[in-house]
Amino acid sequence: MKEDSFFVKKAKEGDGEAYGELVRRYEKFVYNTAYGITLNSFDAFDASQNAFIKGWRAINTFKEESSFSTWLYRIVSNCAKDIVFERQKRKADLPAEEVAGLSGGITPEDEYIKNEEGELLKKAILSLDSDSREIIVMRELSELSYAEIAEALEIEIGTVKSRLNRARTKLREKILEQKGKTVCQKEEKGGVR
Amino acid sequence: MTCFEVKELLSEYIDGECEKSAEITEHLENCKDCKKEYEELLKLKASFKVFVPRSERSLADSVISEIRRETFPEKKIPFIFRHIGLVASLAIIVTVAILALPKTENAEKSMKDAPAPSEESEEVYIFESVKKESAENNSFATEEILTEPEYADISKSEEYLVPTDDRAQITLPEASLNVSLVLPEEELIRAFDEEFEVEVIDGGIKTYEEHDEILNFIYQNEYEIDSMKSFWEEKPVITVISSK
Repeated sequence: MKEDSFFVKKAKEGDGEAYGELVRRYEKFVYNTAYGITLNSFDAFDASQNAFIKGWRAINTFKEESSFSTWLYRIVSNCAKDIVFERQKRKADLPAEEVAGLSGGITPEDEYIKNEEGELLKKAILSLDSDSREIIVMRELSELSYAEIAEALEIEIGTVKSRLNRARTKLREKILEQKGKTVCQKEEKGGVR
Repeated sequence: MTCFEVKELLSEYIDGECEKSAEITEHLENCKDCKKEYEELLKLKASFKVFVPRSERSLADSVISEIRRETFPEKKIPFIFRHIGLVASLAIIVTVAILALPKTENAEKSMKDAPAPSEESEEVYIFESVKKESAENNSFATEEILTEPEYADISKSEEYLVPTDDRAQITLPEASLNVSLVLPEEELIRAFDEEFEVEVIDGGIKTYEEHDEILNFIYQNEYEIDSMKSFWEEKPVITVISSK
């Protein structure tokens, strides 16, 4: 299998099909990253599309000193954050009753996902501060290596290790907290034990 | 190592980024408490594997279509069908044909004797390089035959190559010839764009069976090979013209 640099070089010369090969290679990477930030599939799809198109248009700005994945990560991250920001702005313009019905980042479609664990995880991620959330996404969803994370965030590997460690600890605490709440709610309603 | 120290390192340990992993592995074998902590972390990590739902639409397809639309704004994107193997196979035919000719002026002459281009000025891809590396099941020699690609007016061109294999004759069409597109191997669309009478076949030939399948398809549908082009060695393109 050819290295990314082979296709990057051709893409820089305007070869759309070469870029298309990169799109296929990084499809899952980009989508997972976008999902980790937007937490819903529609926004994730839009953000991913935007990111790939932006990458195509800006391919000549990619200095091949960093890896393609970290360059692309920055683009996706920005596109996803833009979409989240726009969504929040829209929410701010909505009347209060409608906002109450919207939970951060969870679309009606997603609510039908009967995956309790997934829901717990989602809520836990939402509760994290942005640094912790970002590093969790980068490691668990984008599946970047510690070195790539360090490069993308321009921090030391030691910092990556400690941030990730802290983020995981917080996540676990939040999940346990949620599980505790769920159990209590069920008991109150006289429901399942 | 103390349990406290081990627990602090478990995060990097599960990512395979811990320098002291041997010691930790040993500790975990003997310490139930730390082992439990380790397993909880693994569980958390595993829950991310199923966290992202599968998208219903194909992101890659969507992006690639958009980029194509931007690159070829005026041309209708023709339908294509995919027969893996055609190009390389035909490329091989041509390669063999060319290799059979002495590599002298005579070779160039015989190319120039090919049928004259039509009067209409159209974009055409001129057959260029048939550089093919020996693949696993491929016993063909590597040979770079021709050189740079040229997008030329047919009317002005005197030097486009015609394969000499009589099964794959090239006839210049009188109808217009449009841009051929290279598509990734994964795409498999079958239809013909009648307006443009251009069909693009993409892929790399791997077996003689594929080769025969392609040729059969072409002849059954009364197509003729118009030109071949290698964008890059793994993704050659052949354009076929309908003579109907």
